[in-house]
Amino acid sequence: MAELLKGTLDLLILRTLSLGPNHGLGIARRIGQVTRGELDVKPGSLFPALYRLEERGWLTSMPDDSAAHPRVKLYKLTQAGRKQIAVETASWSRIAEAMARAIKATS
Amino acid sequence: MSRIHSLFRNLLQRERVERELDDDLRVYRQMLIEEKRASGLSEEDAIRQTSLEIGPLQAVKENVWEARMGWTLETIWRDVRYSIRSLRRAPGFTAAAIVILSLGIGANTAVFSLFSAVLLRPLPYPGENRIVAIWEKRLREDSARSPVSVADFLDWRNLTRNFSSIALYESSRQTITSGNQVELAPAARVTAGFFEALGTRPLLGRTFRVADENPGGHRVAILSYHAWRLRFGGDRNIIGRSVTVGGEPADVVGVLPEGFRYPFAASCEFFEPIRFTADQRRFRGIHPYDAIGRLKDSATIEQARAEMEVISKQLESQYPESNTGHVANLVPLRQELTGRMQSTLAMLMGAVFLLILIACANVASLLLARASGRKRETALRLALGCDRMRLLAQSLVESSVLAIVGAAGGIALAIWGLAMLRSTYFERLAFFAVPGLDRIDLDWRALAFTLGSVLLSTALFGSSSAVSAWRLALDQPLRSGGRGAGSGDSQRFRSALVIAQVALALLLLVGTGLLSKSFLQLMSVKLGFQTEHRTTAILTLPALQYRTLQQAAKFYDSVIDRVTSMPGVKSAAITDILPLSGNDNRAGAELQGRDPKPGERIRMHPRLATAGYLETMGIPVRAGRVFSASDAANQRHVAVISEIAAKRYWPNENALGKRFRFTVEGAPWLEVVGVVGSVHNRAPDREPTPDVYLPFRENQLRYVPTRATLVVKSSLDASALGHDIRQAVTSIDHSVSVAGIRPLDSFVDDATMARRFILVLVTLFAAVAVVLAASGLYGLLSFVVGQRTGEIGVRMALGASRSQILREVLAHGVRLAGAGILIGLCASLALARLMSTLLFGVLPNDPFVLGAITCILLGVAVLATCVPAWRASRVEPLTALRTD
Repeated sequence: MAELLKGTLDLLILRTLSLGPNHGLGIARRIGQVTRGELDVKPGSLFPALYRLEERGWLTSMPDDSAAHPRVKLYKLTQAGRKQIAVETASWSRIAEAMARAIKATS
Repeated sequence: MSRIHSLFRNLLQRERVERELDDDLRVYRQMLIEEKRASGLSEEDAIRQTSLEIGPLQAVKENVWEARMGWTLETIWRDVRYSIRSLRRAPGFTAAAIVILSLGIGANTAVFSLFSAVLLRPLPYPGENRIVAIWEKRLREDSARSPVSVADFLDWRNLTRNFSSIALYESSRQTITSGNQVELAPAARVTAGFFEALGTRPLLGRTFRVADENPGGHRVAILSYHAWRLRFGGDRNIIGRSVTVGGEPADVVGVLPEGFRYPFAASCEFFEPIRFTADQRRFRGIHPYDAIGRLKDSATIEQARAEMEVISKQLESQYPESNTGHVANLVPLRQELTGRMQSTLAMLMGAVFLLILIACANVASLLLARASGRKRETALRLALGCDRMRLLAQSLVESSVLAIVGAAGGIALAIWGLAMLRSTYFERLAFFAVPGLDRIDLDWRALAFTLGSVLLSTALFGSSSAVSAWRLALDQPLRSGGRGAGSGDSQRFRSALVIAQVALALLLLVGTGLLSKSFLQLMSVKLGFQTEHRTTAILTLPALQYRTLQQAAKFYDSVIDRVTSMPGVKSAAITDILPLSGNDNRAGAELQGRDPKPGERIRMHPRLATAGYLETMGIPVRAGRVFSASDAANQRHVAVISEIAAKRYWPNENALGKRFRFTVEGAPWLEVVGVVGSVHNRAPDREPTPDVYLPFRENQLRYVPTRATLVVKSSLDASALGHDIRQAVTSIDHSVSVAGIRPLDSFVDDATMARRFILVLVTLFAAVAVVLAASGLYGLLSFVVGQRTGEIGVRMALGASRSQILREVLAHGVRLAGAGILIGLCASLALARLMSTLLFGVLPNDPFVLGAITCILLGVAVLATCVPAWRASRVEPLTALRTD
């Protein structure tokens, strides 16, 4: 249950949504699945991230009429969000590589 | 959704956004419970696990808010509201802080507006930096700004290549007739090129031409926009119409645009051309006019200076008699107009700067006292998890709120203060006759300056209170119960603030003391004539009817006859040059039987007067006699000179019976028949001039004195005499105008007005400073006594006497004040020299002033300390110990 680096969560959410629209709990569960339970996203960090990403225009939300709960929000990736995935992936890879090199060098 | 949109939504539709978030969280929670139920948990377990997983809802919501747009703004706004609420809960503190800041910022804004209007705002002339005043520098007389002779000017105009125009001017007052009313109005006489030099085009008609300078030509005049509208109803057909100025008809050839301002006097209604007489064109020894010029676009002032130097040298070798040591001196117009005021305004700026420092120190110590009072509250907030940075930010926000409200009060105060100054001083203060000063208002510069003072004061007092909040946070004084440990530091800091206030107040007091003593010295100057019970009036004769000296002299004699016989009049006299009126004449002279020493120039200041003038003015006769009517009958040319003239030109000799003459062609030798007391003609703070009193018939400079001043000695005052004087004069000749009836002592008032102006302001600032410093001292000691009540109680219980306690607190106050005074005295020794140009008859380190001010401040400090000291000595040991 590692703490998430800021920005990491943004990328994970965007990636998750690139597979298709989803709601809040769905996104959290999906992230849990793909990281094999390593990362457990709590609402305390999930909701701020969702609101932030929506305000930046990278995802939009709409009520999901088909769902069992009348007011559930379905989040969907926008065009800008799709571009942002590439940007964030690139920068994340750079950081991961740098970290890996740093760890190797010091160990 | 765009970011801007989100920002507005978040800030303005807070409730809706909040509701949405609540919904989201509720749905999330619902879905989580369902998920857990589906995995086989009981309803109860599912809810419990869900609540654990989500954590406190409020924390989640706060996390969301912090992530959203506008969070910082939102926080600041919350801090502002919090500050306002908490300031309203402490109305006494808030009112004091706002009043103090208003005083500081208001005084700064008002004085800065003055400063900016005079020294920073562009003059209303296009290409202002190409306009220069041209004076004559006289190397032998050590004078850099002497007026110019007509003949020299004409040569300059012919020879210069660097000026696009160059002109002479002379400010005056002249009668103007509208209907059958004759009024004396501010006017000026100028040559061709004057308006071109200032870069002004006429609204109607034309400006003056070189041909207008010819005395034989047609008389012409140019009206100011103001005169055109008020006196002639803005008649667009006025060009070519005849108006009566100085009692003579002149054709209007031009009207000036509305925005034009005459630079060399407070106002000017109309302009006449200077018409050069044959004597003026010939004699270079007469220097009647001032000059200005405009540089060509291609020329620099250095080039023009070099050129004028060459021309001056040329004239010097051509006319060694009159021009030796005379060099044209170019002064940029701005410097010419505002140079004299720089030191005064700089001094006032310095004074208000000290004042705002004191105000800030005072508010800072108020804030510190308040912070100590709120120590428990602060500690509690820290314990409950409030961030230190937030605490710091909040204390800065509170300071800014105070500063901004203070600035609003300050601006109101500045507007009121400027209105007061304008109505009290500007009208009568020649000192302020700077174009554009009538437009003093709070312009963007002043407002920017006010903003600057707000930032400065927030930084000054806000940072100190913020630092103390920070310290408090580190101390965690909740443990110490809000007493003791943390207070030592803040008390030391407050002591430093009090010392600083006393030191700054001392600086202001020293300024006030030096200016006051200068003023007293000035008022005690013996002017050399009596000012009480004398009424003056300006007579203007129509030049067309009074063409000769004889005619004018005869008229003046008959006025004296008529006025002397008026009831209540003891004596009356007429002169062309009244002391302190700003008029003067000066001419070169030679002494019979004595050649001037090398480098010496003999100059006398001739004053024309009727026989009873010296007696009427109360100027004492030191030797010999005054001139009389019989001198004229005997064809004797006699003169009465002042003591200064006698001492300067006939040192160690008796001047009586000696002869001299003015260096004007055909001037006769004059015999000195009397020596009279010297008179401070120019100003009380300037040396008396070597004067020569002559009967009107003996005018050595040969012009017809068509303007003169009547002086009436009477126990009646000016308002009672005015009507009779007017009647007496116009009954002899109704075309003569009588104007400016006022008591002679009002000239003294005017001459000292500039000093009075700065003295009043600085005294006001110093008074505020002393009150602030005293209240700072009082506040600190009251606080200390309050803090130490318990300790004092213990000591008393152990046998300390009341007087011991009293003495101890008094000594504490005096120690603080003494430290401030010492620092202030050291600073004043360094700073007071800066104001030496504003002083008269007193040195910047005058021991009497410094001593007196030290005593005053110490006295005030003791007074401020008395109440807390007395309170300390009244502490009842039992009560004190019980409250602890």
